[in-house]
Amino acid sequence: MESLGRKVAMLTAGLLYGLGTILCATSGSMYHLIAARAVAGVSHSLDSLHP
Amino acid sequence: MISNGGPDMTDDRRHDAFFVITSNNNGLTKPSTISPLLCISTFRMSAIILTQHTPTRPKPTRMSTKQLTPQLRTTERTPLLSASPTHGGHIRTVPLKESLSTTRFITICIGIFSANFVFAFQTTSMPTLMTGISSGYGHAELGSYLGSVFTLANTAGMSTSQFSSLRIRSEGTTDE
Repeated sequence: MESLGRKVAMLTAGLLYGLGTILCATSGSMYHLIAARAVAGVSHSLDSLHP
Repeated sequence: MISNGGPDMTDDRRHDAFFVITSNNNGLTKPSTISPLLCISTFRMSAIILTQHTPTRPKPTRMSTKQLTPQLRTTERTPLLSASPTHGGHIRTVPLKESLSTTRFITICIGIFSANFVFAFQTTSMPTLMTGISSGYGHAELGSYLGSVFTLANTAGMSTSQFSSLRIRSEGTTDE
């Protein structure tokens, strides 16, 4: 996060969270939905960090 | 790196601690992060900023150590934080209530509130809906993975980010 910068990291996290949410909405199978939830979880970890 | 106040700080000092800036390795200063103190002091800051009648707010100016040095020669009536330009390695700057415009403050508040709402909503709705969703896909036995995978990925991402930050800091320390 320090290498990217705070603003870039938070914007990336927001975009990733939106992407994960879209993938969840468009998932066709249960495994697809679980993978999309993992993407959303990783993006939320970037968003919740405060150095 | 976060310059927030401890639990033993008074209310005024906790409010002022949000306005400090930190020094990096190059000797330059940069604003401190948006800390959880913003959430704590949101309503108080809104009351302060919105009630102030300042049509033209001054641009944020950083005060150097030389400019702050005369403040050291103060009496006992002066608060300790404002009398010390270097408070725990941090240098004070102009208070945020004078440098932050109302529009920017409202934008920040909307961002924080919406992010908290979205996360709280999905935290509440997923345990309620996961059984129905997994049954709809025909895999009711995988319903608990919807919550656990999110938490595991969140933890893995946090650990990775923290370790990378620690590695960057250690490399910067060894270079010096």
